[in-house]
Amino acid sequence: MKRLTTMPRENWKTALEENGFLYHTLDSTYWVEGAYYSFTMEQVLVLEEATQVLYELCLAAVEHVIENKRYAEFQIPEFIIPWIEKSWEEEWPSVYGRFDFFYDGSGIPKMLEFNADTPTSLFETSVVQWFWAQEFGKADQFNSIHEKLIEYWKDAKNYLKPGKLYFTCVKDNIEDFTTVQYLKDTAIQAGIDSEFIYIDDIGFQHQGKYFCDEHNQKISNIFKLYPWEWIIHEPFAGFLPVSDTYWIEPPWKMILSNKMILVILYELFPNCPYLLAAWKDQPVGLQSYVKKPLLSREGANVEMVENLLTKAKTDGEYGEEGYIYQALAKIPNFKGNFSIVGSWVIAGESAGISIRESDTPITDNNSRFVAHVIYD
Amino acid sequence: MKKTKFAVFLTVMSSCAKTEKDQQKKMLHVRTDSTAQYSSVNTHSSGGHYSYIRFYSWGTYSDGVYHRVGSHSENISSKSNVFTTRGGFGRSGYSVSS
Repeated sequence: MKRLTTMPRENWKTALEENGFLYHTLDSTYWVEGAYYSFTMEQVLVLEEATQVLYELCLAAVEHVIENKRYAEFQIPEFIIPWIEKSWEEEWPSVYGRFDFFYDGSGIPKMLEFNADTPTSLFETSVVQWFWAQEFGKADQFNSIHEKLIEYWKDAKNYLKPGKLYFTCVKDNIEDFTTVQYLKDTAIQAGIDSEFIYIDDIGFQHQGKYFCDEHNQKISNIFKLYPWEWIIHEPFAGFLPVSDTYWIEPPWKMILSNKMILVILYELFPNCPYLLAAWKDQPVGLQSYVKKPLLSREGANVEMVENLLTKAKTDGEYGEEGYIYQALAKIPNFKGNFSIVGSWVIAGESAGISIRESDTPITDNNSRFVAHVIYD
Repeated sequence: MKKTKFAVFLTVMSSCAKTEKDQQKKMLHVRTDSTAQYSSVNTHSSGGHYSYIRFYSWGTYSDGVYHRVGSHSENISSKSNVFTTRGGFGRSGYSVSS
């Protein structure tokens, strides 16, 4: 794994925009044009195997949490538990997720966390970096996300309820909107009748007890890019169990998208080489660790402690629900760029990687996206 | 990856497939070239500003900076009518980036 530099393309912004990638530059640089990461095939195989193994362990961990009713440790409210269990028992499937790995090209990848519910950067990973590699023209890329999404939706037609598949996200956010529209695009390519609706335009029809669109048409199936931990505290939350809408990602992802799953995984599989020690409430025996809220986003409210001294810390509004403490894996520093590998899971299979860089060891909402190639 | 190259890759992987672990490596998820199906962007130029309707986006791009224009469906009422209530989702945040 190497970080290499290259000459930016003269027309790189136009080239990205022609792919529909409009947020390459927002408040600061997001897409890094003049650099890329190079992996060997051997390294790619290591990442692929780690991803596949960890996803299986994650499913086992969900099973454990449900069987042993450990919801309180996740701060999951009681009213929604039967619905979570229903979705698990009925095997409501998952489309996607993204592991964040510590990996520097040598040794074994370590799981930092699993963005199981609302991972973003999907579009730039699947499409934008792929077209960049086509133009770059020298090497292959670990990336089959696009094909796997289309295959997933083709299979999904067998279990979706009659009616359209809706896609939803918040208003006025280009990144979320693009992610959802890209997913919708892949569903359309798979032959699914799809519709878009902003999440605050969703209605609830009280007489029929169903969610509906702007025209009061029943929403039977919906993909939401909106976190479960937000949804279940909003006014419509009580209607979720009484309606029969099919939700993607499924409700059981409330367990996987919670940092408490890191503690459960370590408890169940302490000898797994891909896992870091993790504890709830206190850093048992750890002198170097990362303190994370159960439900934080974009690296908010994270504290990095090394030899009992705080080395980095971020602000935010999370933490009320409690913290976990994870053994520190020092993020590799490539000439001032702290990099983590995002490893994508599509329909339960390892499907490709993305690289994000930050100026600090804590990856936050100012992180940058860097493309990669496989180059032996 | 071009399909010819992909075929070479599969041949190489197949020749190595002697153990169960190596069988798993055949699963390597590199992409074929099916992104040819990915539909292109439609752009419209107007006075130096480019509006993008790819994904039905609602922003404009000029001088390398993205500008929000607004959101759709502003005519939807969040108040109750006889049978339908709206606005019960979407109050917790403005971005889910993670």
